[in-house]
Amino acid sequence: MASTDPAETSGSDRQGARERTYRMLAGVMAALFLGFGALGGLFLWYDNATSWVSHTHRVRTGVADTLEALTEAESAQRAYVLTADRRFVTTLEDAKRRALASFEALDRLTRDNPAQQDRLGPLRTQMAIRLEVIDQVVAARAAGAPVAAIRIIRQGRGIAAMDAIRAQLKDIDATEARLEVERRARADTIRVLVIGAVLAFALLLAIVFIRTLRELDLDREAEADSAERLRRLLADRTLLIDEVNHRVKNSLQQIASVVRLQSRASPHAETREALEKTLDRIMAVGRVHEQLYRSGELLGDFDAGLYAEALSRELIESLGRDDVVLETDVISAKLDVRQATPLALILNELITNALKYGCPPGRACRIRVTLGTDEGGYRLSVADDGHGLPANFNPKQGKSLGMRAIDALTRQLQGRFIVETSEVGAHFALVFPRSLA
Amino acid sequence: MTMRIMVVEDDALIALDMVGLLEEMGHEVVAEAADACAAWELAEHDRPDMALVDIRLARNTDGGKLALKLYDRLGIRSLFVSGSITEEFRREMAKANPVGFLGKPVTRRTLGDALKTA
Repeated sequence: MASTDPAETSGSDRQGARERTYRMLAGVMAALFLGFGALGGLFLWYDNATSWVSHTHRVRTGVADTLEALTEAESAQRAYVLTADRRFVTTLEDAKRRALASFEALDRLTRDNPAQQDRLGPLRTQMAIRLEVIDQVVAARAAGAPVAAIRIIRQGRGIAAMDAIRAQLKDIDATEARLEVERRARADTIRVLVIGAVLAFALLLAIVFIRTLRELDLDREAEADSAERLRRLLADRTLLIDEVNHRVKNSLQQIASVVRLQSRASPHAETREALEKTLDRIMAVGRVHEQLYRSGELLGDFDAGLYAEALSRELIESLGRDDVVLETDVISAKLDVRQATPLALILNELITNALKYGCPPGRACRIRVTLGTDEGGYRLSVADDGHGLPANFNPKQGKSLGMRAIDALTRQLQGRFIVETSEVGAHFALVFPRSLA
Repeated sequence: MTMRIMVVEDDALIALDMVGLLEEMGHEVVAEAADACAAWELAEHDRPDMALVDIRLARNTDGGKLALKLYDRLGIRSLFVSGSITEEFRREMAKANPVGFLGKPVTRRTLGDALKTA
């Protein structure tokens, strides 16, 4: 039956939807972390590839610088031989220093490449020869005539060394040029990968964002929908209970009216009295219903203390007697709905009896109604200050309907009925558990 | 104080009982009706001092509307009798200057108390 209840169905639907959303969220978070990691890795890879491209650049610049410095040293040497101007010696020394520095840089930059290092060995030797020849030429020219210097140049050792140097540098540069092309291609490929990954990541984020928004929207709609359904359901139920309550009260009124009409139509006082008693019992039950249910509320509590106080007041006032004093001392005791009616009927009998036997017409009296706790349960008592009970009074052997009813209702309440002996008046008590077993 | 009262109640036996109770108390029941239309016609003709009105009436007529009309046009106040009287109904009926609201089942005493204020 429960599964056909619309409120419950939509509740379990929403439960399922929420669980799906949570699982999706967990998946999305994991995917986001992995995606971030992958993107970070790709970026590092790209950075590495571009740094290799610029490394190659630096190597090629080193090659060009070395050659340029050596060529300048050669030119300065020639100019000095021709002019014997010391200025060219300064230029020459500077060019030599630059050539050596560029070579050292080249050596450092190509440590990772054994093939290039192999080429640098002979290059170093040839450079040393070339610079040595230049020094010899400069020394010869400084000593005197240009002829001696020109003779050293003519020997061709320096020119041969320079040719070897050019060849070696060209080889090194060609290798680096090839490497540059390769490395640039790799960096370009990685760049494409990075751009693709970033785009894919952005797309993923957008999809997740849109889906989450849609899920939230659906969830909100479902919530509003089920709240509305619950409201309607509750309104329907309240209306139904109101209707039932109305009918119960109307039925009680019909029964009461019929009994009262019959009572009024009866010529015998005894019959009238019996019917009025019946009417009181009907009203006692009606009052229970009244207290349990108030218009616009769902089933309420039955407060035995409140009930006892109201019923005793009502019964006494309905007699229209000013000489009966009612004393009440009750606690608030919330009872089970099933205990309400038997307790109400017992109370009705006890108070009716107290009024009839304890306070006969014309005799002023006092009626005391109490409700308190006793042995973990409750104790309801009704006492009057009348003439008291006959010496041989035994409630179990009584023939009166009132006493028989009290006996039966006490059993229904799983309680004990006690007739207490007292100096004055009759004193009855009912001890009953807090709830029915 | 004796009053001339109209009883508007769709349940025949309850109506009979109400008439009996009112007469016992010394009032005069000048009209009885089971629905709002009949009640209105009788009220125009008999001009009672007060009306005892059940909220739900025969032929789906409404005791509340009847009471508003009775007070508005004829100045007759009503004592409502019903199984369920909501707070909303009490607020709506304030305009009809009602004698009171009486829950069913009605006892001699509750009816007598309610009429004391009329």
